[in-house]
Amino acid sequence: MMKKSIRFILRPGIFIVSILLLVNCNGPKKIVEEQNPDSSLVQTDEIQMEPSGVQLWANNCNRCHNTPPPKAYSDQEWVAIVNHMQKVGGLTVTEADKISEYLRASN
Amino acid sequence: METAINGKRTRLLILLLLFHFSLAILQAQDKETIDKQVWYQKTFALVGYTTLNYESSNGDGGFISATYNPIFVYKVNDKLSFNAELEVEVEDSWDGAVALEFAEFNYQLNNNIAIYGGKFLSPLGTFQSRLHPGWINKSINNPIGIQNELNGIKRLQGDSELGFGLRGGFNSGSTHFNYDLYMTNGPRLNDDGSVDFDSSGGDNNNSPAVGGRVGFLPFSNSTFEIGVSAYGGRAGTADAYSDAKVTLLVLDLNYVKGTEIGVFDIKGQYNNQKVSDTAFPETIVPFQEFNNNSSASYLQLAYRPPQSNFEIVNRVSNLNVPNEVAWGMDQTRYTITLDYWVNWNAAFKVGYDFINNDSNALGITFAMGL
Repeated sequence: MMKKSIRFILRPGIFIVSILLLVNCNGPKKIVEEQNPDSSLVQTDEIQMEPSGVQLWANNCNRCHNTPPPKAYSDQEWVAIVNHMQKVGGLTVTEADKISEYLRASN
Repeated sequence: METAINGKRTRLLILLLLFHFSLAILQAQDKETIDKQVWYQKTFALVGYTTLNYESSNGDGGFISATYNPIFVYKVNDKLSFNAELEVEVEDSWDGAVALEFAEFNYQLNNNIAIYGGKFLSPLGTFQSRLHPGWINKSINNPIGIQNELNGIKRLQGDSELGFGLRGGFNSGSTHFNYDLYMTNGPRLNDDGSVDFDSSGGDNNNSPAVGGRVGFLPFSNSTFEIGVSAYGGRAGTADAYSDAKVTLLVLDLNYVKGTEIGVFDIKGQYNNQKVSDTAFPETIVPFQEFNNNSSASYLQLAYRPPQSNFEIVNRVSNLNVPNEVAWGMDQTRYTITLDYWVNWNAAFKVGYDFINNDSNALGITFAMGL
């Protein structure tokens, strides 16, 4: 019975610890970047290497289905649809925002 | 009794930790960051898909089903969203069904993490969570053992599960990871040795199951993705199969490459299911303990020539189950399908299914995204 109790605690425990590790991997870096304006030069270099909205749209939609044309939906619909696809495709919010901005700008 | 109390304590602990964790995330953001958050007005879209299916086998043919799957997507604000899908289906016998495929809320904690809960599509592998809608699935049918439950053959994962989880993605250099970690009511073991993953009938043992998937895209400008999923939980109750556990290991692969000679699309998935050795009353030889391990897989290659509306899709799918069970049989299917795309989201599909131990079948499907 003791072993079972340990297992009951251990399994969700590992789950939670994994989550916390994920959070710690991403959280502090964002705060440091926001508190340190001098890091803007470094950030500029990083931004230049990041894919644009049109690149993200072409690469990520195509992973599962034909790439939809920007005029397939209205601006309002794109906001909701891209938000949904961000969760399905495992994108970051930043990436989804870039795709959404591209689609609405091209609509 | 003690098990039930432990289960309740565990749930309470999880809820408290998650609450604490969510608060910590919010508090970690300074006021300026919060002020920067842009709160949109609620946005909504009604999307989805529809299919019409014809099948002919052994000289008998006819339209076998029509489906309509509306998907409701709401973005309440930058943090909160809700998505749901209904499936309305009618078969040739005019038997119809309406089912809730998924209904899930999402709360975006930060750039990389969203917490979600409700009824959600199984995140194991990619076929069920991303590829099964009729206009996305390029073949005339679904891979056996992974999404196909025809003729009493069970599949080795659920359609949808009830619970909560966290998911998201993050970049590391030029690579990208996506992940999904979740808890559900868990699997249920049947008297024939098969497993139900859909949380139907509620939690039968006060023991949640835990699962997750990690996807890895080694090149940021590529569609190449490999994924590993795992799932485990107690499947029995205090009265039956009390020590039985179910574990799943799932591998998936995806690669789409546009070249001068056309677009190549490779997809695959492998599911391996293990159930603790135990005896069941409804196996071929009742109450005889056996090695209750099963696997299912598929590999699909599609090719679309440049500037063409035609696409040819080849798929091999395979199911291996123990000899002692009656809920399935070893089977290999080779399915060849010719798609004609009338729009970016609509296709006529004509295909032929070669089955090693059953009648071959012709299938015609019209599928359209909405």
